[in-house]
Amino acid sequence: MILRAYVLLFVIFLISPILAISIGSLTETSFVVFPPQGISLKWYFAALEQRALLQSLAFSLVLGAISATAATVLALPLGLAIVRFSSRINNAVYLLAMTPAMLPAVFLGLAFLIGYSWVGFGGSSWPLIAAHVVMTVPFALSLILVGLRSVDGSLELAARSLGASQFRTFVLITLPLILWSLAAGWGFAFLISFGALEVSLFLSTSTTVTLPVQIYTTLDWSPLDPTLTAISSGVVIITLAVLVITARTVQMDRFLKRGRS
Amino acid sequence: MHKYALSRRGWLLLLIPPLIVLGLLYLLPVFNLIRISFVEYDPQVGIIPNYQLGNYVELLGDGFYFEVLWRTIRLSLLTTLFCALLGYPIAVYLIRSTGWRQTAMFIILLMPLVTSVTVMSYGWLILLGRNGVINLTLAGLGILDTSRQLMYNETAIVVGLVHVLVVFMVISIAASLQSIDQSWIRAARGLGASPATAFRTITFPLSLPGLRTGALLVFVLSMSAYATPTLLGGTRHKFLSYLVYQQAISLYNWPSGAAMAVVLLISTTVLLFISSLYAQIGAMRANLRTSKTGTISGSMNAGSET
Repeated sequence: MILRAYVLLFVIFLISPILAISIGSLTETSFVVFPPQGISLKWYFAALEQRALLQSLAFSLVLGAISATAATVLALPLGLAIVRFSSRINNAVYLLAMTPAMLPAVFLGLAFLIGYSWVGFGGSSWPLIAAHVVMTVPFALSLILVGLRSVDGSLELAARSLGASQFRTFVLITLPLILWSLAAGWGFAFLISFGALEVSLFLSTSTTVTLPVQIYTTLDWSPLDPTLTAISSGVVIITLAVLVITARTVQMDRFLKRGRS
Repeated sequence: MHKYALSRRGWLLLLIPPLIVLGLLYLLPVFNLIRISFVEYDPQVGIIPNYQLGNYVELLGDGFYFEVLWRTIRLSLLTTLFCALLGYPIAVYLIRSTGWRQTAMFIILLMPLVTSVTVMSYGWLILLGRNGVINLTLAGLGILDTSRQLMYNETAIVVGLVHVLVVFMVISIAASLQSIDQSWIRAARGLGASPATAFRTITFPLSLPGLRTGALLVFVLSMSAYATPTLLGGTRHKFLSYLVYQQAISLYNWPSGAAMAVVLLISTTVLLFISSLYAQIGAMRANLRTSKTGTISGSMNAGSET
């Protein structure tokens, strides 16, 4: 009973800033207040008029999709190599792929800025894509590993002994069995890229501004602009949608079972 | 190890392409950053390729830098402590609940983490601001006489960090709670232990590994936090990450920024090392104690470590 009440309070703590933004964005006043005064969608329409905000939203969505796809493509062979071959080198490989998630974001950001400037930016978005791929590989990989470890290999052995080639076995047996973990890994990778601020802050040029960077810089000079809450609650809606879909494919309790094996 | 294993050739073929990509895009820039941190910098000339320790020596003599370093460590420790205290009961709830309740709890826990950190900070800005709902409520209840600034202080930073990072603590503790063999608790209860005693002597000690993993994750991530302290702490309460950004982007001094980034990484790693050493010594002493008395908890400790 006490636990239930505590959980409720805690949930309120976790969702209150999210509610403040999405409900606050409905205000009719020309500055943000919570609770809002009046209910209207006028700031959403105002946000649609702001080209810079919309451009950065589109840019972030595309960047997230490209990075998540590339990260999944890199993480799948890594995961297969780690799970299906026994070697000490695999520990080093795992460490190499996972450390981007543990290093300080500004350390990574500065490393990418200095390292990539050797080749030159030229106002293009490849440095951002490269950085986001490195940053999101750990998230794709850790989910793919959960997926691969849940497959014990008997079906593959059966397929091979019945004469299927290695490639055919992978496409027809392994891939369908771990598809959920690929999808979930993609989803998490997308969310990490879509929300990343620090690394993007180092690599953004005037033509390549991600949405978090755009919000961060706007917050500096006009924190109470309701257009900002409208676009922010747009971010919340996109995030929530991807998270719910991902959670449904993963069956979240698999995370907990990992500790057991 | 696995029923369906790869050949050595297949393993290499799978490994090499992603390793080349990560080597070029990740390892090379990281080593380059470490190299740059030893290079000399002159505001007029720019980078001078002359390797020395000047950038690090300069940091040692910088009182402001140490003040920021100390604040970062202190608030990260506080954040870790609050995450442990607030997160433990939630982990208990998480493993007891099933079905949609559990999924919903997961989603609610992950939401602050995966939503852009700028958006989350913005939410706190609205809530804690001078005309925010918390201010007005406190004033309405007569706890505050006037509306006061609740933002731009260290408390706001810790609130923001706990909010985003508590999920790591909850999931780590829940994973270790989940792996506890329930028959031990039933045995203790059957032998007459109260639920509180069973928790204190069995469940809690066995959940310590998860608590430690969670603490390490939360601590590392809050040491390197950038956006939350900058947006919620204002100009007077900087974290180390902000100094790195300032040196590299605003002052264009890459070598000094690189040195700061390396120190940030090393100080985090050293503190982690000390804490794991401390935990190992503690475990050794506990083992010595139990091997002397040879009680049932001794064999249980041994079981938990395998």
